[in-house]
Order: sequence, then structure tokens, then C-alpha cells
Amino acid sequence: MDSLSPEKTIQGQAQATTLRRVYQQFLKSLSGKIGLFLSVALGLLALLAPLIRPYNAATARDFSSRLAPPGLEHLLGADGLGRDILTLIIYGLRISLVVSLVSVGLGLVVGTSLGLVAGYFRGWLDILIGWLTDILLAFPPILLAIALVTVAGSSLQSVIIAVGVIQIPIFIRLTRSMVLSLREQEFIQTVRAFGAKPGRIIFYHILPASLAPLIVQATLSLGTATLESAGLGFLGLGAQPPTPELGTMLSDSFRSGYSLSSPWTIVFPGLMITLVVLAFNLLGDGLRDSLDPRLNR
Amino acid sequence: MITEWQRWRRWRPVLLGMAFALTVVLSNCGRSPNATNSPQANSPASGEQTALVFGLGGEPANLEPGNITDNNSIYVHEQIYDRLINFQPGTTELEPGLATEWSASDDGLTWTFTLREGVTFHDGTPFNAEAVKTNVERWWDPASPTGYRDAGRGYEIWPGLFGGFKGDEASTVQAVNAVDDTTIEFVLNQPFAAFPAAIGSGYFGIASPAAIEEAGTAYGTAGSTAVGTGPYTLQEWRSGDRIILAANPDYWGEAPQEEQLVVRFITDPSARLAELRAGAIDFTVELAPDQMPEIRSDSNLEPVLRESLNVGYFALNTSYEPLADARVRRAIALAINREEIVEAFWGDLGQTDPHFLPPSMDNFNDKSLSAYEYNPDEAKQLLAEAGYANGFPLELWYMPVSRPYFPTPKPIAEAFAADLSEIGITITFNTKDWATYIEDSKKAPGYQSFMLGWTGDYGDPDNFYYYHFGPGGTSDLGNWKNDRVIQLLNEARATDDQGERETMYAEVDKILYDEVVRIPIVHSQPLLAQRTNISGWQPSPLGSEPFNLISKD
Repeated sequence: MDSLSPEKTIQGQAQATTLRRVYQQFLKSLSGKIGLFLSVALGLLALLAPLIRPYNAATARDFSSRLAPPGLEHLLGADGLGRDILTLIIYGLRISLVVSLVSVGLGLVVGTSLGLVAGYFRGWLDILIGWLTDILLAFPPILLAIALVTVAGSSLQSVIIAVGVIQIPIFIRLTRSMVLSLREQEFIQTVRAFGAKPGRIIFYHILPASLAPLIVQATLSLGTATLESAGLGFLGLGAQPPTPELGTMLSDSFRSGYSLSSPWTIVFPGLMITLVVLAFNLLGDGLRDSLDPRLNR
Repeated sequence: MITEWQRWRRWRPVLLGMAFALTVVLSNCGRSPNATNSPQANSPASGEQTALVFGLGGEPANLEPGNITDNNSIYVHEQIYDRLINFQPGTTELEPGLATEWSASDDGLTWTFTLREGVTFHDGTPFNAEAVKTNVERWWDPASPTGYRDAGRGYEIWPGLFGGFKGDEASTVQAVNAVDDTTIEFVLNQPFAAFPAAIGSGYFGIASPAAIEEAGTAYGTAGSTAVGTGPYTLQEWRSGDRIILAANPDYWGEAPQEEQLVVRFITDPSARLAELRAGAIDFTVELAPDQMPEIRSDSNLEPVLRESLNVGYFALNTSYEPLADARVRRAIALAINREEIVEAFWGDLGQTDPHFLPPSMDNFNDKSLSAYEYNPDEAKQLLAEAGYANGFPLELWYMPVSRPYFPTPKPIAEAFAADLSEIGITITFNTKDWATYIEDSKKAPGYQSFMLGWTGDYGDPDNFYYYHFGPGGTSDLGNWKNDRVIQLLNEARATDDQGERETMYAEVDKILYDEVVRIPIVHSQPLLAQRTNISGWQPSPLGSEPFNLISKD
């Protein structure tokens, strides 16, 4: 046990320095700062939605303000049932963030675990997981998602799972390639020479060393996940009414025939989707600028 | 769309996000015909030929007479087939079709039709009494060799309008006889005053027996043939896209004004209107009332109104336990604010009243009935009395397509749901593909509650009531039956006395009002539109019409 503590301290110090360096780098990145600001702002908006705009999806309707244009009463106008668009997109944002965070989390955990196992143990496990990856990558992601949601039935849970599943292969590939290069490096060889068990090597040494690209990829994946869930909503799969969902708002406006005469019913939900994707991508860019050692000086 | 997605995925997702929002908005503007239309779409065989392009709200189920119930199919049937009896353009009055004269025997049990001479089917087969007999037997006689019932054909509209198939106790028809080459005779089990109108309804086009035999079980499906005597002949059915028809030069009636008729299937009303604005289609149907301002604002377009002869209803299936109690059904009728919903979604183009029959048949209604006024408090009380003080969960099925009676089913369903959740009924929404939607509604146990409607096939209350509440009509309500209603419907069929019929149908109206199994929501005035260079379109109140009189400048 004693023999391991200096190792830890050194590692701790190294981590602290790395963090400081990352932080400084991040501050230099303009897109990172904008992305961080947007993400935090959107996150807060979603979190505080019930305080800002109390709303009951089940009973909300007000035909007197049906398709009301943007104005004082409805800042961004009202939809075909007279519901306030601003309220709807804030709640739609909540749903959207939950879906992307949980599904990317799912993809990250499953994909990374499989990638670590495949890359570290190689052999038949690697081949098996490789096949799985190939199969998942063979389908266009949105098609795979549609198939999964159709089988599982339209609900928010199936969208989360479907979008999560299509993220898995990206994380498998990324992790596996990291592991392949790391496991041959001297510090891993050293730990192995000390007699550490595979579990310890993987989780204490390899995983922390491959975290940076994973974080960047996860952030970027949040953007794609948002889009994919909105796409499913647009196709009528996913969250069922009255749950406000951004993609569904677009298709409702389009299908009901008032998207052109009352453009606010389609423009603002579309802008919200754009904003969320933009936020995650800028943040991802910033993180990559600061985390990727190859980009540093 | 899917391939687009794939290509975009390589780009930065940011671009994707912007593109996503932009595409939706832009594709909507419909300014550029090329954006929404395949290049070869509008210029068929460029040259002298003129084509009339029609935007239909969905793909027909099939082109086989007697084996359909939906209007999208009937639209195309109208072009290819003739029936024994036609309706005068724009009215519900009968006029000669393939039969030139018709009359009933004194006891009302035998109907004799004299057939038009010198008519041939598109394939050259002569039209005669034998051909009519073969067609009727396909629909009516389960033993008909060309009925192909073992291949899954149901002909369910037949029992819907005529009580049952050959051999069924409730069957209206007893025998069909080809008396001579130009005379066909129907012997009935019970008098049916509106028989000519019923056999003249859009389902019962007369098809070439030779063509049916040749095509076998594939007849009337995409890729096979459909051969009638109508103003247009079928050229090609491109599945999922369009049906191309050519003028029939030998048509016995008024020859088509245009040489080619293209029927395109466009599901979304927005897309239909966008294509109309772009000039990719010449005329279209089943637009949403909300689109009226957009039609009016475009100087190339004009709105066309179809006379109202329909009902959009909300059906409650009594086989679902809470709905078995009439108090619960009444509570639902009280909780839905029909007045407000109809005002919001239809405006001037719809009206609501307590009756299942459309307003043009008001003389058959019980005028003492007053609508279930919106009253959530009374509704809650009724629910409490029935033992559902805390409400109950309810599945609501809404149609996936726009129909004349419900042009935008989903938001209307959401409005119902919002009203119902005020009294504690929690709604889950469901929908599925249109053909399956209709089919599954009739399979036990059916949907707990669903939206559907009806456009009259002929101008008689019998058509509205018998199909929905007659002996073969309530499989979608968990086989809810009311013997008094069935008795009244049969008696009203048998008599010609207008006064008696009014009294009988008024009683039916009253019973249905108390039972609330299909809550009438709206009688709508369907909104259609055409480009200003189109003339001669006379929309029929019966929901579809042949296009031979339409011309394009």
C-alpha cells in the first residue's frame, strides 16, 4: 500500500497542473467561452422553467389567443391551441436537454466500457465488439433510431434509448484506439510490472489518460443527440402530446397548415434547436482547444 | 429525407441545426417548384399533350370497386369507373349513369334497371347485364369465383349499406338477375326506397369482368390493372407517388377536357397548398380552414367550397369499462367545449349541433334536442355518480391524415384532451397508418375512443345512420347495439312516406343523443382550392366527383 502512495501524490500534482493549464487554455478560446456561457444560460433556463413560467401541459389551451402574433401578451406569439410559444420552447428545451444528456451519458458509459475491454484484452472480445460496432455503424443513425423507436413504441424513454444506442459505436472506436496506444506506453507497462490487476490498470490509469478526447466527443455528441431527438419528434416519433417537444412543434406547425401564415410557430422552435446545438458545439470546440495536447503550442 | 440526413452528418452539427430549421421554413414557402417536385413531374411527355394535375390527400387503398371505404380511393374510382346511377354535378340528385332508367315494383321489392347500350370497357369488353351481375356478385356473394375472398378481400362496405352478404339474415338483397342483355333486376328481402342511390354511391363502380379474371387477386392494386367504362383510363400507378390517367376517347358521356390526368398523393395540407402555389398541381382538396388567408393572399389561387354533407365525430367504445356507463359518456360530451373548439379550428367553415345528420337534413332531426352545453362541473358530478370521481385513463386515437370533417386531427385531439383532463380523464394519444387505422378500429376490442367522420354517399339520412348504427355497423363501438334503432332504420328504409320517415329518424336522433356513443363534433364545409386557370370544377356534396368537365387554360 505504501509503495503506491507516492505514485498517487505525483499523479495528484500532475492532475492539478493539467487542470490549471486546461483552464488557461480554455479562457483563450473565444468559441469555448461563448459555448460555455450559452450552455450554462440554457441549462439555467431549463432548470428554472417552472419558476419562470408555471405551466400545466395537460390542460393548457386558450383559443382566444390562437395563433396570436408575437406581442406583449405572448412575447413569441401563440400556437394553434393558443399556447404561449415562449413557454413551450422553454419546456421543450428541458425535454431536449434531458434527452441529450441522458442518451449521451448512456452512449458514453456503454461505449467507453466496451471500448476499454476491447482495446485492453484484444482477442475474441475485441473481434466481437468490433463486429457490433460495424453493425451499428452500417445503418444511417437516424434510420437506426427510427427503427428502434418504432419497435419500442413512441415515448420519451425509447427516444433516449434510441439516441443513446446510436452514440455507442463512436465511443467504442474512440476509446479502443486510445487504449491501443496507451497500453504499450511505459507508464502502463510499469504499473503492469508492479503486478496490478487489469481492472485497476484500466480504471486508474488508462481511463483517466483517455478522458480528454472522450469529454470533447461527449460534448459534441450532445449537439447531434439534440438534433436526432428533434428529428424523431418531427417525424412524429418520440414524446407524445401534450409533452412540449421542439421537433414536434415544427411538424405540428407545418402539418396544420399555418407555418407560413403564422411563421412564429415554426421559426422560434427551430431557433431554439439551433441555439442548443450551437451551444454544445462551441463548448466542444473550446474544450478540444484546451484539452488536446497536440494543439497546445 | 433520410439520405439527406446522412450526407449532412459529415458536416458540423452546427450547420445541421441551422439547415434543419431553415429547410423546414424554406420548403414551406414553396416558391420554387423544383424544390418540392421531381423534374419530370409536371411536364408529362412534353409536347401537345395537356395534363391536369390533382393533389389528393393520400394514396388510394386500391382501385377495386366495392372493396374500399375511403374517399381517397373513391376519388380515383370516380375517374375510371361509372356506376349504374350518377349524381348531377354539384348535387345529390340522381341522374342516369350506366343505367338509363330504373323503377321499383309496387311492393318495393324488385328494382329493375335498363342499361345503356353501346358502352364498352376500356379493354374492349362489352358492357351488359352479365357484367353488372358479375360485379355485384363479387361484392355480395361469398361464393363468387372472382371475389377472391380467400385472398383477404372483405367488401365490408356492402354489409355496411346493404345489411349483409348473400345468405346473411339481415341481407337487403335476395337475388340479382340479368333479365336480358340490357336489363338487370335486383330482388330485395325488404323494401329499400333509396336503393338506386345506394347502388349509385362511389364504391360501386362497374369493372370489366374480363380484366378482373385476367388480373386475378392482383386486380386493382398498384402495378396491376383497373378497367372501367369511365372518362379516364388507368395508365400507371406509381406506388407512393402518383396515378397517371389518360382521357378515354370513347367515353359515352361528356369527353374529358384534358388528355391526361395526374393524381398525386400529398399527405400534408401545407405541402398540398405549397405545391398548388408553385403551380406543380392545378387543384387540390381537404385544406385546413387556417389556410384560407394564405389562399386568399395569392392572386393565382381561388378557394373552392364544397357543400357540407358530413359529420366529424368522437366515438366512445362501450367495451372499455368506464365507457360502458352512459353517465360517463355523457360527462365526456359535457366536458368537451365543442362550441369553442369548432369556432377555433373551423371558424366560418364549420358548425356544431347535437345531431349526427348534417344540417342539410335537418328536417329528419329531433329539433327539441339542445346540444350538450360545455359544463365541466356537471361532468365531474356525473363521473362521481358513476364511481369515477378521480377520473380514469383513456386512449384517444386520432387520424394520421386530414379529412374533410377533421382537416387537422392532431391539434383537435389535443384540444379534446385538454378539456378532458379538466375533469380528471387522462389521455394518451395514439395514431397509425391510415389504412390500418380504419381497419383496426373495427377489430375487437377496437380503440377506447377515436376520431372519425363520414361524408354522405347519397343524400339520404339512411346512409349516415345505417352504416354507423345498423345491423353491421357498430363493431368499432364494442358491438354496442340498440334494437329500437335497428328496427327504426329498417322501417324507414321501407317507406317512401316523407312524414313517417321524419318521425322515425327523429326518434333515432333522440336515442343516439341519449346514448352518446358517437359524439357529433362538427359539420364542416370542406375547403378546396384551384389555380385561377382551372374552370369547370363542380365539387359534389358527396365528397368526390369525376373530373371530365374540368379544363385548364
